Amino acid sequence: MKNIFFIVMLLSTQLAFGQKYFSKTGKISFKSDASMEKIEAQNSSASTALDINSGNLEWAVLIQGFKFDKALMQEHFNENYMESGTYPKAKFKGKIDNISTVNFLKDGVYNVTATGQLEMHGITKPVTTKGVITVKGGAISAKSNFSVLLADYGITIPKLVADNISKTVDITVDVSYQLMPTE
Amino acid sequence: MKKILITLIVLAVIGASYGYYMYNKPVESLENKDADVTISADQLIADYESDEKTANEKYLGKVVVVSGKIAEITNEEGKKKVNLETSNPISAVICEMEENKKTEKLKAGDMVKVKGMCSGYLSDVILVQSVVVN
Repeated sequence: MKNIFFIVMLLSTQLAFGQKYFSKTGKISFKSDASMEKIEAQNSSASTALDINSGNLEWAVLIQGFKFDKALMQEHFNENYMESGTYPKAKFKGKIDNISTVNFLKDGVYNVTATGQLEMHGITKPVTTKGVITVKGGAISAKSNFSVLLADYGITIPKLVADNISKTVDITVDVSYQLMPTE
Repeated sequence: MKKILITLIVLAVIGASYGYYMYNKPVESLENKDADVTISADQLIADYESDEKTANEKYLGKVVVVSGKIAEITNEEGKKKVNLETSNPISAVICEMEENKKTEKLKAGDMVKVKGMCSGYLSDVILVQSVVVN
């Protein structure tokens, strides 16, 4: 009897405080397809936090942590396009608009929409993107895919190669969240 | 005349191959690169905590050798990360490891020196392309 009481206590504290989730191993990859140049890179150390009550969502990623296969591409990405020495991070701060439609106690795949501000290359712009939240056995993961126009973020492509490089990039984010420890 | 033509063709082929080689050159391992900075995990985090901008000027994009105690080793889809503990319980130096035999022997609690490229600071400092230094 005492045990049951203890378990109930434990569960209720979990429910009351189990609102914030985070990860330091979020994956962000991007792809840009053009006739000549196919550009692809991955980062597996993005930080993210999600409050499942309010829907508040944050992401941060280090630009120099993106991995390319080709050394020259990585160099151009950092030095000429993203100027990562000056702007080392990209950040997203926003909200999952329909967080209330996700039942975190029930396994399922839920469609969500996130709206917020995306900052990269020193420029902040509003973005809206669709994504899915998957709940499975109490574990929460999230995925989204969206595209940004390089010009919106002041990233210019030299005229000489303009025809070979796509003007938009496809960004994919993918994360398995962990419950944030409470103090 | 023919000789000149042949020479030109040979040169053009060499030039094109060199260009093609440079274009496709893979990202180079840091194994044989000299470190720009040698520092303890504690000091690196302390520098970033006190002033991120100044710390970035010193470390961002640089090859750093960081010494510290392994708090945890994670392995997701074959990608290993070695986390070095610091005196701040919520900040670590996270080292994304390159595939390397030396990495396999590591375990939590070991004192190590890791060489990697500093990609900056979130609430941890993240090193990429890291290798273990003997």
